[in-house]
Amino acid sequence: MVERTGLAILAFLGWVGEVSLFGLRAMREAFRPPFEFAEITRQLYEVGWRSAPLIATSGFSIGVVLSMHTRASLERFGAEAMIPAGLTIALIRETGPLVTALLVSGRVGAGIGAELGAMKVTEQIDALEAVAVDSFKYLAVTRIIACILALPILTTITNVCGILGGYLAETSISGMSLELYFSRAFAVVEFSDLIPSTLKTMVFGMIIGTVACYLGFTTTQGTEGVGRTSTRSVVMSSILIILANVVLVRLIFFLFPPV
Amino acid sequence: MSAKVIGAGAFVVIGALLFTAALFLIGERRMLFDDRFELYTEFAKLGQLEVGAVVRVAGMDAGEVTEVIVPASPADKFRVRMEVRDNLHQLVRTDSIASVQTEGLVGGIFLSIATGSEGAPVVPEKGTIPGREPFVLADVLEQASETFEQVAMTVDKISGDLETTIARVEVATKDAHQLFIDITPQIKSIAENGSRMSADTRQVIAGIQAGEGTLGKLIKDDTLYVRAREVADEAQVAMANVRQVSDEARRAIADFRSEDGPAKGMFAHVRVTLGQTRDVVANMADVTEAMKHNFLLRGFFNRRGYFDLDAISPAQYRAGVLENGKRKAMRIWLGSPVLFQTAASGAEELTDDGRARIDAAITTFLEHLPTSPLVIEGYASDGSEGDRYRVSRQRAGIVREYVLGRFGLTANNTGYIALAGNAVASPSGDHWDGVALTLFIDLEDLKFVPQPRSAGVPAVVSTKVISK
Repeated sequence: MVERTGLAILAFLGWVGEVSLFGLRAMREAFRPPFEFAEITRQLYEVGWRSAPLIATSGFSIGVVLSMHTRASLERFGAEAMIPAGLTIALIRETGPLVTALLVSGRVGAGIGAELGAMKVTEQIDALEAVAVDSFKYLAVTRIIACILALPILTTITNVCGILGGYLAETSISGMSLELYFSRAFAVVEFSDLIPSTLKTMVFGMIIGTVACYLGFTTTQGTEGVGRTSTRSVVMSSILIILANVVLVRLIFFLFPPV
Repeated sequence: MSAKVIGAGAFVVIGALLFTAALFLIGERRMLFDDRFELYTEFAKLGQLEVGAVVRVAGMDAGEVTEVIVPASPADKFRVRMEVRDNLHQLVRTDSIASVQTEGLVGGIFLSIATGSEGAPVVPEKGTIPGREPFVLADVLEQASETFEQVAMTVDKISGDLETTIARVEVATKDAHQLFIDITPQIKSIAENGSRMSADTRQVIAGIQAGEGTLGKLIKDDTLYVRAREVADEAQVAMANVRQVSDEARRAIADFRSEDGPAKGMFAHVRVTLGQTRDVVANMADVTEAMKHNFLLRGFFNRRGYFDLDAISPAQYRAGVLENGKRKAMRIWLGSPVLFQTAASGAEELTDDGRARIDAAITTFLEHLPTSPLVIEGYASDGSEGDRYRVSRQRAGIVREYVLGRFGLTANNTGYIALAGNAVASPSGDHWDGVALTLFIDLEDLKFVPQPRSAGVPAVVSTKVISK
């Protein structure tokens, strides 16, 4: 049992090491020409634009739900006026980035893993290598960069849609105006709340892209392996995102002490 | 351009715009795009005020706290720096008060600035406005807790005292009850006696009303009243008599004072009596004088200094009749050139210098006056024997009068005698022109005091004791 646990830990650490080296290689290759801007743009469209509806809808729904829950809590203290500020600070600091990353992980990570896994098992990657195309740079780096660029934008969309959803929920009950709502919403928000929490999603995007690409590039066992890669991509990305979030929050608090 | 590229571009642009909008909202809230001025205030306690807290002027969002400067010592205060929108600058005056307040029950802490008075000047850039210490609920609760503890202690103390008091009251009540029980028989006795006294009193009053006894007769019998009326009438008559007597006495006194009244005769009697008294006194003087010359009593009178210079001749005087074994004469010689000057009338009078010399000479005798007799001897060396006698007597009289008036000596003890010009023991030999102040003093009391000599005093004045 201990031996098996030890072997599992060693296997996990080995897998983390391989993923980390994969990611470092991707970062190194990202700054080396040739730069695949067209592919990056296409992947940005796939990862960002195609995910926007899901993200916007999710964000809006989260805003409505958060507003309702916040109202239920704060109206006990007669602090309904704090609802916009409470909802906004919750969305911007944590809910928006994390939910966005998890959603993207589920949608994009699974897609990247499945796509690259299928290319791997059907030897399309080998075919690219055969025609002198750097498959790693063309397939992995572009997707990782797309994820890194798309996540902050998607997080912003989540935040804005969430605030709008909160406004609709609030104005349907109290009739609060949009101007007053936004005034109160941003009354307690600082730059240190918005910028670090938004930029940290770039790390989440890198995790999603790196894990998905690594699993796709290492897919084996045919179509069954593709499905497994897709699942593992979502699971591993989500776990790493949550773990990384803990570290990043701690780091942000260290760099930007909360007021 | 493919749709995917456009979609990607739109995605990035929209994301960037939304992010920028969020940044703008935050910046707008923090008034980063407004002109601001710097302001300071001070607090002993911050009351959870932190950097970034909203600053409101008259309730309007006006800026934020930018720095909290920690004091260097406990005596100093926290210095809070803030930035306030410049368009609200005219509302912040030097007498504006800054205070830390809470926005609602769970709201944030913000710094409120009250607008100052109209007459106060606008606070300058980087100026400092006074701060009101924040209301800290924890401090109030702590004070309330201490108050409650003190109240509880007081209540406990009062409770203990109250219990003690109640116990003492209970004991006192028991004692009073026992005392009441003990004195009940005495009270009953007193009540019975009182009842008996009341009955007796009623009986006495009834007797009085019936005219029984002295008091009853006094009240019921009018004899006393009649007698009293008679006494009053008699008193009135007596008063009339007294008044008459008084009038008669007044008239008698008037007659007594009048020229024709009986007092005239009384005063005549008084004059007769006084005349007789004068005769008696004169007789007594004669008797006394006789006694002085009686050989049995002469020594006594001489020792006492009673002698009559008028009855002594100059020859007897020079022979030392006034001296005896114990009493000797002490003379101070004063020359006439110093003592006397001739007045306009031709008579001699004392000069100022002469008076000063007499004063100095008498000062020598003061210790023995007035118990010892003083004799002013008059001398004159010019003219006939008669002139010398007359002038010497005048000189001695002048000096005697001066001495009596000057020193208040008794006349009986101060005599004078005219000795013409024959002065055997005088400083100039056998004659002298002037006076000699001679004090007859017992040798036992003699105490020679040298006469003080002042500047300008001529040598003709000398002092010496002459003894026989």
